[in-house]
Amino acid sequence: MSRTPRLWLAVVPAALVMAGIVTAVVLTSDHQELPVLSVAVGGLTGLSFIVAGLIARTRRPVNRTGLLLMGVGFAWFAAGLTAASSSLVWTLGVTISAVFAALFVHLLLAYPSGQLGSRWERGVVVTGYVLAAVANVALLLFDRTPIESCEDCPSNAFLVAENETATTILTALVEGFAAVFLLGVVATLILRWRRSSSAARRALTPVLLAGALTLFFLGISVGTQEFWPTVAEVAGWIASVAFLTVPFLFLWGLLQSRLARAELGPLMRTGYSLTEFQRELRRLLRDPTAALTVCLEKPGGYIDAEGRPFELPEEGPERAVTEIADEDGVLGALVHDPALRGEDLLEDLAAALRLNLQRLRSTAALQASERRSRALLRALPDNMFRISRDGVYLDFHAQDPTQLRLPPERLIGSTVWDYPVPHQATAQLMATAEHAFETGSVQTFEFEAALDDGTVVHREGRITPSGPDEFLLVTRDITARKRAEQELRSSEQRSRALLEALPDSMFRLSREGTFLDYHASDATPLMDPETIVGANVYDYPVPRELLERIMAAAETAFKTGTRQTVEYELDDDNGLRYQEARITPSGEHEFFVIVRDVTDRKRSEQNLQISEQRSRALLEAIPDSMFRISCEGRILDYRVEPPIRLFRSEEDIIGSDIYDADFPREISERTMALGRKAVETGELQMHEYALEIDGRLHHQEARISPSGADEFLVIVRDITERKRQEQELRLSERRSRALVEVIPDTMFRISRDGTFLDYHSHRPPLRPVETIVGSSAFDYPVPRELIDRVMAAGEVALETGELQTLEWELELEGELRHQEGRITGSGEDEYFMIIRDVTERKQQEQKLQSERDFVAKVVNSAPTYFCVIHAEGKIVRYNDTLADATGRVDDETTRGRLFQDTFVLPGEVDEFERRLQIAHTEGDTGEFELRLRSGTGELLDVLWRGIDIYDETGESGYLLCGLDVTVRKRHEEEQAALRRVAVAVASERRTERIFDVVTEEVARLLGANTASLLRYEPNGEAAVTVGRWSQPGAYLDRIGERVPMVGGPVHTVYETRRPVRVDLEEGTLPPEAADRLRRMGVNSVVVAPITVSGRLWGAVGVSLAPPNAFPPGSEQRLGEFTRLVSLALANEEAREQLAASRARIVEAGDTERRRLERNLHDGAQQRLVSLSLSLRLAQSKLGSDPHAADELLSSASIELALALEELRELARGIHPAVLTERGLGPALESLADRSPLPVEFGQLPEERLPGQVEAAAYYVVSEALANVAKYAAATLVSVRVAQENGRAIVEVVDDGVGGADPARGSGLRGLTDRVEALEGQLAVVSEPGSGTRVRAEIPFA
Amino acid sequence: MSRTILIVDDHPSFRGMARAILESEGFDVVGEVADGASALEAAKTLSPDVILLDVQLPDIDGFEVASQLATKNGNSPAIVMTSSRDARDFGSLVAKSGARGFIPKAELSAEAVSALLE
Repeated sequence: MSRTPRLWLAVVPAALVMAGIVTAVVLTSDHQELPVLSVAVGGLTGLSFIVAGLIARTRRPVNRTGLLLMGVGFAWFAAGLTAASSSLVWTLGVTISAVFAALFVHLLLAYPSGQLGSRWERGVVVTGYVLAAVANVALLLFDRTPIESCEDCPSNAFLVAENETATTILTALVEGFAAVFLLGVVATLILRWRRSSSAARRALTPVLLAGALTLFFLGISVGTQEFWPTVAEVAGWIASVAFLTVPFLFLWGLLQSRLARAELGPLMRTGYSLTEFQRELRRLLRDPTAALTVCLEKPGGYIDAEGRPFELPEEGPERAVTEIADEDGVLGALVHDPALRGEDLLEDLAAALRLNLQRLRSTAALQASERRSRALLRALPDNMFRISRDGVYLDFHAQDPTQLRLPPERLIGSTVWDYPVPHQATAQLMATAEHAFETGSVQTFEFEAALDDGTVVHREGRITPSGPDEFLLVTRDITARKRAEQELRSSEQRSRALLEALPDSMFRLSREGTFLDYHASDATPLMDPETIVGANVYDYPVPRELLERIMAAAETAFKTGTRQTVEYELDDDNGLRYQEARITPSGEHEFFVIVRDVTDRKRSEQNLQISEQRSRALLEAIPDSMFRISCEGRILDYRVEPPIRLFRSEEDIIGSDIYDADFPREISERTMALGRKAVETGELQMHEYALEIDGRLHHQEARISPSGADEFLVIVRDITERKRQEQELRLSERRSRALVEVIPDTMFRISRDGTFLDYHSHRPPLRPVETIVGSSAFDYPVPRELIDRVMAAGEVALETGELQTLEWELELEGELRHQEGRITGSGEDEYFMIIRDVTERKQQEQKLQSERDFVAKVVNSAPTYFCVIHAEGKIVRYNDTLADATGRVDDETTRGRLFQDTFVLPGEVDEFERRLQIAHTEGDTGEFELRLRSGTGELLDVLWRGIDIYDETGESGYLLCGLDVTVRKRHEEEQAALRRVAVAVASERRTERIFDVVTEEVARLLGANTASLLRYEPNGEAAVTVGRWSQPGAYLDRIGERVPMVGGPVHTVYETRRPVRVDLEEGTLPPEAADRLRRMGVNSVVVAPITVSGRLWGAVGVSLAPPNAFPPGSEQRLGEFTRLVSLALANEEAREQLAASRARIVEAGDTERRRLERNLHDGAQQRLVSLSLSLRLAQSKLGSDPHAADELLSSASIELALALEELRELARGIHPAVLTERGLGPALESLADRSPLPVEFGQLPEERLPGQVEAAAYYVVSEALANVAKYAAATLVSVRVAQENGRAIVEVVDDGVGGADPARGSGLRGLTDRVEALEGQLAVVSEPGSGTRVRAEIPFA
Repeated sequence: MSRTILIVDDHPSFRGMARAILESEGFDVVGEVADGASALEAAKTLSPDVILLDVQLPDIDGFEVASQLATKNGNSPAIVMTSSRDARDFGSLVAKSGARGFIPKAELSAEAVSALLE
């Protein structure tokens, strides 16, 4: 009896007994709800697990899953004891009621292998068991009613001590922990499922899903039992149902395996191919990665379903290998998911395979054979197409089918027109095919095709008819050849670019054709360098026709502003040379000619053309030769195309030995060695060699591929031309390099992305040479901004194909250098940059510029106005001086406008144009005056002169030079006016007339309608009109009219002592003053003060009727003129004063004489008359009355003495004798003696002074003392006469009442006249209450 | 009968001396006045034969007084006296004033006066 039936016999009865006991317990229970339903569901559940476990155990005795299933079933039944009415049994039931759940967790985590995979899983399972064993036991010790919802349950047999607190805590702990545990298990299951392979999932999914659901709802049930019994109950029921499904799902899985095995039947009978077998296998195993491999008899090893060699993987958690073998040995192997390990299906499949594998091995061998034969095709570098004459693809072979433009599976059956190449190429193909049909010979054509990645490939098509209505098309990739050609062209382009960027000689010429400068890098000029500068261009020793072409091109360059190029040939000592002259304008009247020798470029262009033609012809003519050779070296087959040659004689080649071929032996040996290697490895071998054929060296390339077990195919291609091209390319590059070597400049070849491709310089580079090529331009140690500029210019050069030129400054070795970079494209994605040091040229340019700047500064800072105009008067430009004066900036708004519209006043345009006409004929306008309105509105007088010049564009025009003569003219006008005033002063006796002259001149100077001269009254209450002038009809003040001081301009001048310009419109005047101006019909007024001898005398005012008629500055002008007029007025006043003084002196003299006459008449004369009469009477009485006569004589004697005294007094009054005889000091003391007041003397002169000075001083003191005595009520007078700096200072000071007025009374006036007559000054200071001080200063030196 | 005479002069010492000389030489000095206005009034009240007029009087010029005393028939009583001896200075003025004549003061005498009256 086998083990399996024994198991069934043991377990089934046990299960039935268990089920019976539990049924009995439940049915007899006093607290079980729905006992019948419980029995039905519980029984079904328990038995299902046990039966499923038995089946599993039977099928896989080593798998523990069966045991676990049975364990769950029995534990389930044991939990049914909780329905028991007996306290002990019930308590036991409660104790073990959770064990089934722990087992269930174990079952799920170990499914399907029955073993736990990880330490985590083992930990979880152990935790489950501990929880199941301990939790309920612990609760039963303290809880009287461990099942809360069951009120009828028996008493707790294990209760030790009822403790509600412990119960509550324990219940919460157990339930919480159980819920967390169950949810953790669910999470573990989900993670496990996610990590599984698809094959594993197939088995896992249903069982794990049901299990997880069971545990989830069980967790909810346990977790909510205490506080949400209804939910707990519902969740419990769901968990039960899910729990019940687990054994059934397990059984369903088994059933599925059975069904799959049923599908194996047809598979075993049908002759599937290996690929198809593998596909079926994957489907049945539900393992898409499963692989079927076949073990080959010879040479051993495995191949996969595609026939490719296959390496069996190591057994492991990732892959499992099931070998398939029969009695003869291993046939093959299944590589599959480890989850399938031990599955019946797998075994059945292996059995089915075993039957078929022999056949499959034959197929694989055939495939390998086919593969070898296809190697021949693969060795050919070409694609082959068999195409019907009407264009349908019949068959094809492609080196790389993915490179075909149609998917390989769609190609056959489609037409050539479906093939996505340009229509033109297809038409060319079909036309060539027709031609091949017609001629019966091989036809070739070339075409281009763009691959999906955008690269363009070049192909050559060879067409041969292969039947009456079909032909063979062999396409070959000739991209490499084309690329070589392209490379050659690029190299040539680079050389050309290099040449283009290299100026050889540079000339700077004036537009008229004079050499201004010369620079040659290496070429020798045709003229002596010493004499070039300054020479005429036509003296240069080249054909005149060429020089004329260059000058004409220069004119074109000036006009268009673009660079011109002239190419020409020169036949000199060095033979015929090609040169190129580039002509660029520089500035206004100069241009550069850069002459370059392009002979090399020309020759290389010609050579290249010839070379290209030759190579294309050769390349087109070269087909391939082919040999099939056995591994022993016998030639099995051949096709030879010249110039490939194998033997001197081509008879009996087949079967002959390769070593007998007309090859150098080493080539044969090498070919054989490679042939054997190709056969051994199955890989294509190649070698290149050179050999001489008909005296000419040929390069050939042999491609060797295995064509059978012991034979190989050699395809020989003559690559002489390609080699030659490569050689030429190298030569060309060497030439470029050589060219570069001789260049004095630094050269970079730079790719579009900024990588240095090449570098050359005679100068030390800025970083080590060996690190430059391949590095990024952005790493080059120059400022980033410069690199950005170079890259941008490179981009432009590549896009436009034009030479780009940059200039920059760089500090090298502590010296600032100017450099020039010339950038030109040298390929599709690269360009050349030639850097030349142009420091010297820059310095010259800077010198030139500084000279220009100097001229510009002179022009702009000169006080002269400069303006360049065209012949008709259009402004070209003008200097800052003119711009500043007129406030009009020299910009596009003025340039191009007519000068006469811009700067000439309307009334003077005719004069200007007349001057232009003169200039047209004489080249010079001559001097002429125009007025120019300044930016401030002032009119300036400008003296202009225009001379003809050429402007920067070569157009003839005039340079207008203007000199501002405003100040000079005004000065002249003012001088003339002053002269007229002075003449008037000198000739006019009437002051009024002089004032009128002044006003007329003032009005004329300022162009005013009226002018008035006003004199301020001494008290400042008004100004009186003293002079006037006006245009006819203009308002005029009357002479003597008082102008009230009511805030008008005359008042303002009185207050400020400054000239003022007032406009009625400004509204700044007080109403009364404004009304006065309105009445006068005046809007614009200018008034300036007149100051005579330091005091404000009056004012002069001019007026005009229109508003704002006087330009700014008029008030200053009037003020300046008035200052000059003041001198004339001062003279006039001085003259007036002089006349008054003279009159006073005369009057004083007359008065004095009258006084003398009166005194004489009244005094001495009367006494003498009386004396005379008295003597005559005495004489008559002498005889008759001697006594009377005696009395008469006595009284006559007294009378005579009185008369003498009076005469003396009189004489003293005329001029004191003591002064004449004894000097000033004694004379003053004599005065003091006669003074009624005490006189105190200060300093008195020790030496005699000039007589008239002494007299003046004497009379000052005399008059002063007389006044003091009469008016001052003083107590003391002090007198001082001193000599200071050649002046006599006379001072008489009293301590009287003061308040003396020098203007009143003739005494002081007479003294003033006397003192001023001696050019002295008399001052009287007599503040009331402070005494009086009379002081005279009289010069005498 | 002696002729009556009025002396007009602002200097009292001269009037006294003139009275003494003229009276001693036969003239009847009927009055002495010191100014022009008094002279005109005295001339009316006294009607002297001769009025001796000093040229320089404090109020009215002697010639003016003379011209007011002048009569149509030319028999004016006025005789002008001056301190100056130079008759040329006053000749035309004397004629214009209508006075009888001119006597320098220092040469005053009855004879000189009588000569002018004739």
